[in-house]
Amino acid sequence: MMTTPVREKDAGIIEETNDETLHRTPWKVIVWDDPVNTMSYVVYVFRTLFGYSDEKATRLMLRVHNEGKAVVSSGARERAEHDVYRLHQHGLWATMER
Amino acid sequence: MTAFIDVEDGSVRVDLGVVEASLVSSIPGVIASLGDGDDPAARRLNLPVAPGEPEIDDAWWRLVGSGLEVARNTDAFLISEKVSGDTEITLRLDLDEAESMMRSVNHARLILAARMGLDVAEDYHHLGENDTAVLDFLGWMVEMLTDSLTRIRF
Repeated sequence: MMTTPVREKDAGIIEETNDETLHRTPWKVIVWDDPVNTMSYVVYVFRTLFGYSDEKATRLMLRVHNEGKAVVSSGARERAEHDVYRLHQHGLWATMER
Repeated sequence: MTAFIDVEDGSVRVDLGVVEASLVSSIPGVIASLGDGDDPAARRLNLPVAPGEPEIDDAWWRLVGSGLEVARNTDAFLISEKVSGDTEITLRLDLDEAESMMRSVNHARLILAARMGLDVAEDYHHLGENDTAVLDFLGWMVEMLTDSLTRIRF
């Protein structure tokens, strides 16, 4: 990953490390396809947990079904951890990555 | 009595015959039977949540793993309270109760499917008749509860 120079207050130019860059990268929550959860159940879970419209939830469900996975939310680590928990609570196969 | 699930007066009505009630009443036991890493169902439900980040994955499971187990058992408790298993029954569930039953039936289906060796969709065609009958009935319940809840909630 490339490093990005950033200006720190009153300290001149410093070079951001890879770790720092990674720290500033949002986490993505991914739901993976599985052969058991039904399509309508997955749509219901997306609508209920994330407040998505029927159209958006259905589009994400179809992406999971056809492509094997879909990013369903993103944000800070705590938010991603919470979303993964709620998805697991409903039996969906969810992971987080950045 | 024929099994039946629908919205009625703003709640979810669930009719179960003796055979169906017996199957549903076994769900809390199925949920409680979730074993350790040797149990394919445990492997299915306890998958890594942060692949390639073992420290984050360990921390997540340490923090919320027991919470997930409690949540599954809490959902299953509703069934053990309401379905005795030796008689036909009609339930009227509010939204929270119906969601709880939906999650519990779905978890039981995931656990049983994993133990039957259902890893990919094609595996379904190699299952025995009894196994597919159980998965199909539980799948029907999830579908009907989902449909009913969708109409109530949205």
